[in-house]
Amino acid sequence: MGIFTNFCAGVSLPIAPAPNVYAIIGNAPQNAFSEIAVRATLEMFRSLNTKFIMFDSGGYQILKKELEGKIINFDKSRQIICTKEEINITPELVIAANLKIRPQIMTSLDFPVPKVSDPYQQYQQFIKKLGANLVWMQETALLRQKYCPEIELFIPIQCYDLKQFTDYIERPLMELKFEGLSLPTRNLGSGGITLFLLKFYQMGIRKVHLLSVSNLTGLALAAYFARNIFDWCSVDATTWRLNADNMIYMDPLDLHSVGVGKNSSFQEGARPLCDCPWCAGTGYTFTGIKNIPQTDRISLLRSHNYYVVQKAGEEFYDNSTDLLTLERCLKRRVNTPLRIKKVDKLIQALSIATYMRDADIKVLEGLLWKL
Amino acid sequence: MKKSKKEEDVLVDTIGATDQQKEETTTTNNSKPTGEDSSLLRVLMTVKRSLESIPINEIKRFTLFPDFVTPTTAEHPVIVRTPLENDCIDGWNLIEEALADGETEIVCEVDEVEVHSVAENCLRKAGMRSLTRGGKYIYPEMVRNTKILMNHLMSSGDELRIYGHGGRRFGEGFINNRENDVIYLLSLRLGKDDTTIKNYRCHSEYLSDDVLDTLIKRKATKEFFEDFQTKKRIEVKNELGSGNLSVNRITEMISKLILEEFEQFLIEQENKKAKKGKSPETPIIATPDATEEGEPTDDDDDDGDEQENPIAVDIIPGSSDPTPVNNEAPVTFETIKLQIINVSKRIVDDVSKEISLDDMRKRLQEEVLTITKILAQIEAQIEALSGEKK
Repeated sequence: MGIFTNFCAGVSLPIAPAPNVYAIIGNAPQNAFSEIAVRATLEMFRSLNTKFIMFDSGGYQILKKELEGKIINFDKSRQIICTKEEINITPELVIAANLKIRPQIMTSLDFPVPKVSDPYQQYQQFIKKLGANLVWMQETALLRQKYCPEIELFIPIQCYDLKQFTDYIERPLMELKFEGLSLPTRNLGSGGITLFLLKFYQMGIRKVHLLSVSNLTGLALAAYFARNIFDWCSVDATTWRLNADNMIYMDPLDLHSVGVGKNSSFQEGARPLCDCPWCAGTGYTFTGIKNIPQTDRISLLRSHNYYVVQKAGEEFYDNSTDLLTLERCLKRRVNTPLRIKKVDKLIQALSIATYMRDADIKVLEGLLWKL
Repeated sequence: MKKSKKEEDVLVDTIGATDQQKEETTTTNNSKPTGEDSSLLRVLMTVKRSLESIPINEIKRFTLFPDFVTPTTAEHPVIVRTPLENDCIDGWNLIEEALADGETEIVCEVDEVEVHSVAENCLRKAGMRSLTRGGKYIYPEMVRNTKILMNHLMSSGDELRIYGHGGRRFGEGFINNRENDVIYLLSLRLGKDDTTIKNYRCHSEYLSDDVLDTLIKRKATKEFFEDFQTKKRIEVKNELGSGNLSVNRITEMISKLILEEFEQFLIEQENKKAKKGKSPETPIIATPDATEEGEPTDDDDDDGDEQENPIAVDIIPGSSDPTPVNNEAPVTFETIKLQIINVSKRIVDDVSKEISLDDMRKRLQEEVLTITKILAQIEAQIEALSGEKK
């Protein structure tokens, strides 16, 4: 039975969603670009009694700058830069940042592939980023081994399908020393994620982090893998905060979005079915939440959203003793045909993971990829 | 006292009325009015307005809603004449002065209504200052008044539309969601944007009545309430998050905290004034409320309408500014000062450690960048202030 952890991402002390935040993921460009930022980050961990710290390399920030057409530099002679116009990051700078923050887990520098659906565009993006990803994972792993071997290294896998991974990444990856892999999920469904996780399992990997997961099925999948297959399976997402900024209240059951912005309207007396101390604990109706002034409402939504995601993850882990229990738990939370279908697909994928985890990967690909 | 209708025609809203008032009045219709019942639409409207001399002993001070602390600037007391009595809702000080001068009658502004309604009188009295009839209000009075009216109207079960527009516009703006409707009604009757009403309500949360009264007596400003709200938000979040769900305990804690913070705020204001006197060239960035304590301003509605889909702001520490500041707080003289103090502290902290010249250079370079950003904020504030003056 492994460990499941939901890392709170995109957090700073003034906007923390709770007085205590057990696990936080930061990143080098934003949390360690200067001594002042490092101090603020360490102060945040201290104030929020954070026990698990993961430190991302900043790949996502590079991708954002790339998509915005901003300046991207990889100049190790300069310091980390992360402004609106420019980013500068290298494996050396990532290691230097980790030496200051001293997290339990770090990730190697990566150049993420964006979410695109056209196969040719996917190939183009993969080829464009492959060189940098191979060089950086190697450089980061070597530097980590030299300067901070006590910090666990997770390597992000940037590709669109299993073939790209097995043909170009697997071999160089296995020559490196690392503790776990980090998998971006933006391009994958339940079947795709399960396929990659089983491939990792067959390679002997026992620790995995799933990037950007806060949906019902993603959380359940990670919790199930943590409890039954891996020693460690963690997730992170900034959804709690981004949704709050957009005046979205996450439904406590199926985590769907409920707008509580200016133009939303509710039946008189309609109350959220939530047990979080911030909304239900104060006895708010939906109208009551909507009528809180904007800044205070965002603050409440951050706390509530974080709570419901955290609670769902814990509940799924507790109910992952077997597939039937997990399925019942999930189906108590959903009621629309679309969501029920998603749960069914997840359970199918997890059944394959449970009973066929050692099968030939090609067979698993045939079963899972188009699920 | 003149009565425009016979006793048996009188409708009385007994909510909040004294037993004596209830007994004195004949009620012909106790059922709640509906939107279709147009006979009830008129009753809460002013049917006649006059300036007339009234015997002082026929005027009753309306005490079911608190008086404003600042005496009225109106020339005459404002009276609501109901079928029961002449209720003075503003300018009682003028009546006291007349009595002291030995007068037996006084000229009053009289609004005549066809029904005696305590809630209506409360609404009229609360809106007296914001609708510029009676003089000045101070911010905490509006916070308290909103709290009283919200609590009363939310729990009363009254048909709210009778307090809103009359005539063809009867019921306009009401959506049959009581909480929304009460906020809408208060925005109508207090002459404030609904966002402002929500802010008043939010600022009164977790404050005891005694503490609100103290803040009124001491003329706490809007600026203070806004500053304190950030602290309150974090404290309440932490209390609830720690499992303390007792409203009474949180109210006790926040009420104590606000008084402490108010003392501190006054000291800072004094220091600011002292500095202003000493060095006139120093730009003092103050919100309009801070210039004259307790003065009402037109910017109560400056909270701005929220965007339906506001763009998420990246508030990860130092994403653009190396000084970690609370991005929710507006840039004021105080926040700028705080940033400068933080920079100074960090420099002192750094030089007191044994660090290499290279590190020293790096850290000072970072602080120089921070200082340039603070300077940019100061420039922007000076520009904004000079723009306002023009």
